Amino acid sequence: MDKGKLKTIFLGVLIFASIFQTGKLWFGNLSGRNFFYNLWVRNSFDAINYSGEPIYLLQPRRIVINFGVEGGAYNILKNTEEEFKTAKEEMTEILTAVFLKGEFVKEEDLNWKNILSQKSMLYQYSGVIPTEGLITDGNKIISKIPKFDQVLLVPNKSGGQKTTCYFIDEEYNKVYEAAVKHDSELLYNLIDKIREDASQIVYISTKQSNMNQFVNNVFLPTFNEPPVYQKMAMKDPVIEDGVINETKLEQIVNPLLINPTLKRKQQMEDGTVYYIEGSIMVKYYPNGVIEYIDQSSTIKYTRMSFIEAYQIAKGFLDKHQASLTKDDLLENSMYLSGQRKTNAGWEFYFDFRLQDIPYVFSEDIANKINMKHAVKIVVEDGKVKLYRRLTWEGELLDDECEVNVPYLEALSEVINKLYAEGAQTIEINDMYWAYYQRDFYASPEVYWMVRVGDRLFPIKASS
Amino acid sequence: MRKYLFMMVFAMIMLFPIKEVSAKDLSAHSNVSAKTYETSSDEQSDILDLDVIKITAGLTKEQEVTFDKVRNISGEAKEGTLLVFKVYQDKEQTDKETYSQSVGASGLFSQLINLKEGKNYIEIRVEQNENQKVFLFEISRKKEEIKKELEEVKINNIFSEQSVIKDTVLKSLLK
Repeated sequence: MDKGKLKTIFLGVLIFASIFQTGKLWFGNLSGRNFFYNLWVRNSFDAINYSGEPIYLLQPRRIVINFGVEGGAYNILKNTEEEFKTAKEEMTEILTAVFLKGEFVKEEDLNWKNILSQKSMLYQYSGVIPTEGLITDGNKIISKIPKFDQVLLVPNKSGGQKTTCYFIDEEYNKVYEAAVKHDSELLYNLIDKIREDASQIVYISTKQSNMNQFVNNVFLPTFNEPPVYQKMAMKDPVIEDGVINETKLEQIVNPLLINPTLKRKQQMEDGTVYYIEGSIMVKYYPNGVIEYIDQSSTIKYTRMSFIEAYQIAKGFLDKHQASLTKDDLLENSMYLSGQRKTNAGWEFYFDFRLQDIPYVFSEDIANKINMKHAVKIVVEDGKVKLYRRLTWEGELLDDECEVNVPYLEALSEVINKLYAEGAQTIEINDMYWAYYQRDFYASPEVYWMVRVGDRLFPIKASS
Repeated sequence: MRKYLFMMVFAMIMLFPIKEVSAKDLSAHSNVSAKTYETSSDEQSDILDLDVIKITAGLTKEQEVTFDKVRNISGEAKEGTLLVFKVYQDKEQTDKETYSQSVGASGLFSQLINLKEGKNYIEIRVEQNENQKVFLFEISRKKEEIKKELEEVKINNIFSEQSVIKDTVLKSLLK
């Protein structure tokens, strides 16, 4: 056998071995190293991409129904009610119409009594919403309305009439009026329907009632029969009998990783568990917090509008939530409770809602978990750099509690505290019911939350 | 000239019975003398200043007509003031709805009142130290159907020549 033939056979063996080895890598047990893995089996934790105008992403924190009656009578829609969904969808339709073909009427100083005199719907947002980018091809109206924190829609009964829309910037005491020829009969009838289904609770407006102690317009509940709420407990499903349930933890962590089979796990002495895969690190703290960090290097700073950044944050959160819901985990409903523009991008804060009312934890708990909100998302360079959230879940208990402390009693208690501290003037910013948790081991109970500047005064709502 | 004189006489004839009815109704249903309440003259013209209390929302005059099922009456008073609200349709009624509250440090009061169809009398008793004052208001709640009928008729058609529309509106208002 000549030398050339030997070389050919040797080369053939080598080629065969390489094909075999590669095949084993691709199709064998080491599928995680598969070249095509990313094409068909990877987690693909890309945020949900929403189609349509970005304005559809805006989720009001509260929808207030104004019956347009003497002295003011209002209702606040529950977020789980079908009416909330209908009212939200109608709002986005009307706002889109306003920005596309509406006309700008005027800008003036905010006078709550004037604008609340008619039957209407008020949509309240958490923080200020800049209008830039809400509509891709908006008309010139958008430039005349820089931002808003509330929108008041005055619907019409017949389709041929104009629908008036007030964009309210309460912080700067401004209101921008716009109008559009758009059918809003559905909203009109919805208000009538809710009015007819007389509710046990009637809300009043502090501005309409001339309550000078309130800086902002706050809607306060009044009732003759106290409402009843079910008691709740907060639990971390990851901890069972004091031990970490790794299956549940991985059900929470895995959807955040590109290729969960490749993750490396490390547990520290204090109980903190680290999962690392590529540039993604997910930590689980035993007090019930997970933290996702994207450590990939920043290329350059790209300016993002509020709605661009919010779209990324919401898409990321919704995607994670969808995979958790599939596993019946962490199903508390959430709402955007705040946002902040930073030098590098945007920060978004979300909070839980239990039984349609916000869940608030004490400052003591906040210090222990190093979080002020249930969820924090940092968006930089067009992607989520940090996502931190509680792994706590609300559970309904069998007991009920009667919320029998009226707002006047709670308000007087706070005012007495402020006077005792030497306050000269009383300026209340907000007042609402919340499930409030005092410490780690206590169950949340319904409290009046009274916000004065940056301080929050919790007053128990049941005696 | 005769035309203007005729209009003046007609207006006086129309206004006279309205005033008469107002005073008669209050005295017939209350042991409290009917008072003419004055609204404050400052820019918050919808505030009803009754000296011992100020009603800031829910009541602006002694007699009102409404379609609303509820009314929230709120206002300001000195800390420690005791307020008793009595709601009834007839003076002789034994089961008058009664609510009471004591004004706290906020200096505010607020009371939700359910209104029945027809006349509703709202009696507010204010107790401050040894003094006691009673104020009487009347809210007449009209039927919901009247409101719906009125809503159906376009305002710009009221003055049209169509007698059918005119009749519908007038009938609704007179019910």
